[in-house]
Amino acid sequence: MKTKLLPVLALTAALFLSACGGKQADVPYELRTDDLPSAIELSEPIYVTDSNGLIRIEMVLDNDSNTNYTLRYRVQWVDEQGFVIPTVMSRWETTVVQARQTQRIFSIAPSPKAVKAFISFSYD
Amino acid sequence: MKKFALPLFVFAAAALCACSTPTRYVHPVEDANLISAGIDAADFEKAAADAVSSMLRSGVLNKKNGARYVLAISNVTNDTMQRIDTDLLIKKIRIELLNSGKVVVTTAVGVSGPEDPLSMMSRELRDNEEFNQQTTMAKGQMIAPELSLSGKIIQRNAAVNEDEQRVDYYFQLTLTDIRTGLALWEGETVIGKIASNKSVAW
Repeated sequence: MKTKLLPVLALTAALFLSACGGKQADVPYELRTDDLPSAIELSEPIYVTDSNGLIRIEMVLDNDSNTNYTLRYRVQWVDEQGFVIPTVMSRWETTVVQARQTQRIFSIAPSPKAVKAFISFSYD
Repeated sequence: MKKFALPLFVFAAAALCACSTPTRYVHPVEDANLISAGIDAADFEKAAADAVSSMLRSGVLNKKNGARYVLAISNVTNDTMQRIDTDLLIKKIRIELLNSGKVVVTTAVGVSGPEDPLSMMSRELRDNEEFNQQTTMAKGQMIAPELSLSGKIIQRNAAVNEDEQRVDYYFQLTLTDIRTGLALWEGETVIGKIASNKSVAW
């Protein structure tokens, strides 16, 4: 019995792991959330590419506490080779997530050459 | 006495140098607290970033088949108490729009004449025998603008209390379809600052 089930289980596990890994590799963003306070939860970003090839990304910050948080964030875009695309839109922005409220963050690629966004958060 | 003159002079010079604030470069992140009451580079950057992001997001620059719009720069009025070259704002927007692949800016047409008069002046070489006529520009090559970008920067000062004042800057921009004269996009970024009454915002 054990010998019959083992290959099936192994195949299922491999498929599961590869499916998860593939999703991470394909998404056009990378999140750096180490500095986020524990009371702030960041949703998985949604994204779409518009008709002219610009990627749009939006995500939600959810404040699950009774404290207002002032956060800083920056979205840097890179091209296919991994080189950063300079743009004024990649400046550090400040946003306030009110207590028990959500705050949406939006970014649009500065160029059709942009293929990935590195989204960093900072909190002092 | 004369023996002491030189060492005294050197000592005084060294003391003066030590007291003066050394000149240094401003770091956009680390020096974020170095804010002036007037409009500074960070304000222009924010206004440009907001405007470009809003314009791209609105979809008005999405031309059929991925083609690019031709944009002309119209009047950008400085209605502040400061002497500002509005190119500090507009140039940033132009760079971003060009990089977006959705817009090209014409320098051959402008409110006060072409930004680059050489495009038109080069046409005067057509009948000049000193120039190889095969290298001069043929007629009908220039592209007329389809969109126009205009705007205004406004300043409002208001007293907050005896010691402080609030200074608000409004960066207003409009994108007009030249064919119809209709505004396709409008954006406004407001930057407010609290400063001492002793600060002068002009």
